[in-house]
Amino acid sequence: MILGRPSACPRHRAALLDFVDRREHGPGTDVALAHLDRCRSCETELSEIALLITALRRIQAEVRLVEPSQDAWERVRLVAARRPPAPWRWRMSLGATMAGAALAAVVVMPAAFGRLAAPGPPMAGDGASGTADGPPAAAVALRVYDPPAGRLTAGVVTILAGDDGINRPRQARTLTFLPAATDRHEPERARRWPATTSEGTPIRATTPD
Amino acid sequence: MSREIDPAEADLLRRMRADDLDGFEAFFVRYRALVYRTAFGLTGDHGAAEEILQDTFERAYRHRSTLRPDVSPVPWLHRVALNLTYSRLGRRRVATRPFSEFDLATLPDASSGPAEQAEQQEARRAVREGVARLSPKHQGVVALYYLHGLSVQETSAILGIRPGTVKSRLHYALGSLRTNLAAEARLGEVWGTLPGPVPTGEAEAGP
Repeated sequence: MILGRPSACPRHRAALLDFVDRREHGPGTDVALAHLDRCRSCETELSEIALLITALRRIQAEVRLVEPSQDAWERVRLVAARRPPAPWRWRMSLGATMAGAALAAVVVMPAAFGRLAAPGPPMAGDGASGTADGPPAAAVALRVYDPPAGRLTAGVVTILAGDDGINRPRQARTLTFLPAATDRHEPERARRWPATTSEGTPIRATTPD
Repeated sequence: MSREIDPAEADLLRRMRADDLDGFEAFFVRYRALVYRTAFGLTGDHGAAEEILQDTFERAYRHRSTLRPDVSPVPWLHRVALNLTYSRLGRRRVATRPFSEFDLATLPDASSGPAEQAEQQEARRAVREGVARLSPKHQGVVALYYLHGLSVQETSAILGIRPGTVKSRLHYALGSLRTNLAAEARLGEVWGTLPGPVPTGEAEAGP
């Protein structure tokens, strides 16, 4: 600093730096250079900054010569290609999956339950004729509604009948199960059939009250 | 102040937003050198620079829908590259590979002896580490102006700031870099023969 004027150095340093770094010669350059001749502190600082600039320029000289490798694009492309889809896409996928699951619940599940609950042949006197339609396989119905046969568990019957057990008396006429052989083709008619045994005897199992 | 975007640049951004992979490739070709050189300039490591290049463009692709066609992507790309570079340097500051023989051969003063070359390597390392400790806005101007060799006007245009702001940031960055290196007694590494820290007092000797 010039004695008694401590603010002189900062005032000149910007102009000195512009001159050293870019050879910019502005209105304040000559005054700053004159100050530099007298100021040891500015001279030291400017020398060090000039060294830094030189080091940075050397790095620049290296940097200008480098290029990315030839296969850089291929790697970037692969990374971009394996990215997960955009959010709206996976939301759509999720929506489609959920819609499919709902559709399966509506269409497939009743059919599956119907098949499990396939009753025996229709009873005489009921709307549907057992002989005309041919005796459907009653085995499934028997298994369901003839627990003494010991082929199905009470749990299965509970699910089908919506009841808590098989020992409780049920109304045969309220049972609406499909024969296994006809469940896909004649569901409406089949549902009207009361459950019977393979011998045509109405099953005593009932639906819950 | 934002950089004006040229029609070709805007077209590339529109194509990228439309999921055009060819457009993305053209975008990559246009800006890869900027990103790669920034990364290499600050790490001195080709492998790290390749990874940073890849990560930067992967991010660009991921955020393609948010890139505005009326705004140059250069400041954004440069910022991402700087962040990735410093994140990497922070993770493994010591692990960056020294310059290869090829790198040394490209130096202007490659004819110097092994001792001088080692000294220069250490000088560059000291400078890089000093730059890494600057604030992001100062890193940005130092990288573009000194490492890429852009002019004040070009740096100003890319960063969307006024030329006077570029200059003041450069002044501040250099002063800060010098102070940091002096405080760590590493200024000597920058030049090899300099004495240790120099007081920065305002005292002025007479002529």
